[in-house]
Amino acid sequence: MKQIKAQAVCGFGVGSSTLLKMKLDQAFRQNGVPASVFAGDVATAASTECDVIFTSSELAETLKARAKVPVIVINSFVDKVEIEKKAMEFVEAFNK
Amino acid sequence: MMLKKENIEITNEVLDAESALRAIGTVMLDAGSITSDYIDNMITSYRELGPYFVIAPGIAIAHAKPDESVLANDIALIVCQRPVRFNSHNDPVSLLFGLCATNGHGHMDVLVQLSEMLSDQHMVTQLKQSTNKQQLIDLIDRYSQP
Repeated sequence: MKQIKAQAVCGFGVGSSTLLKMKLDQAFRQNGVPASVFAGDVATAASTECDVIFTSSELAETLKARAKVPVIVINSFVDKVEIEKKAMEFVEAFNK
Repeated sequence: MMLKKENIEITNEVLDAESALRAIGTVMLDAGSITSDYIDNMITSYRELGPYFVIAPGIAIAHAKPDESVLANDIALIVCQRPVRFNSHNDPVSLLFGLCATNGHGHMDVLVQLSEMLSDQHMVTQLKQSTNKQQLIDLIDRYSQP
């Protein structure tokens, strides 16, 4: 399996993105997916090298227009089920 | 405790989005953790970037950029008995947290505890339904590591 570099994005890369990063770390770890997750801010996220971006719906539109990688919307940053489902869907597509 | 007792409030006031941001900012200001510029920055960020900080149904984590308006890492909570609308798909918000960090790597341990607490649906429901400050303090105390 390829190593995944995932970016969790919020406005400034310090608050909500850190919470999302922790949930993504858990999801990848529990599914045995080799991944590194880091928190980023909306201003620089699109130009930061990564394989995928996870963010809120409000920031996704801006990011989708700029980023070269898939932008995945997470509605609840504390919902393990939603985050795991969306992360694993990406992993499946990524490893094809 | 992940949240200082002085940083926990409960209100039955009717608040709109910006007055709610001012209210949570004032808690961090009174704690000496920010200057008033940080409150203005939170409001500007809300106007420019939208309500992305409403991270889950009924839960917001208001914050702005780490800069010189942050004096110390801190976190605050106002439980809004009359939930606030931020124009988010996760509206209305009854758990309004405020967060300030001096840099991007601050208070990770607190955020870990916060994430665990907010992932627990039962706990979130109990927090939302709290009717007084002592009840809130006891609930959060149970989730905090020494």
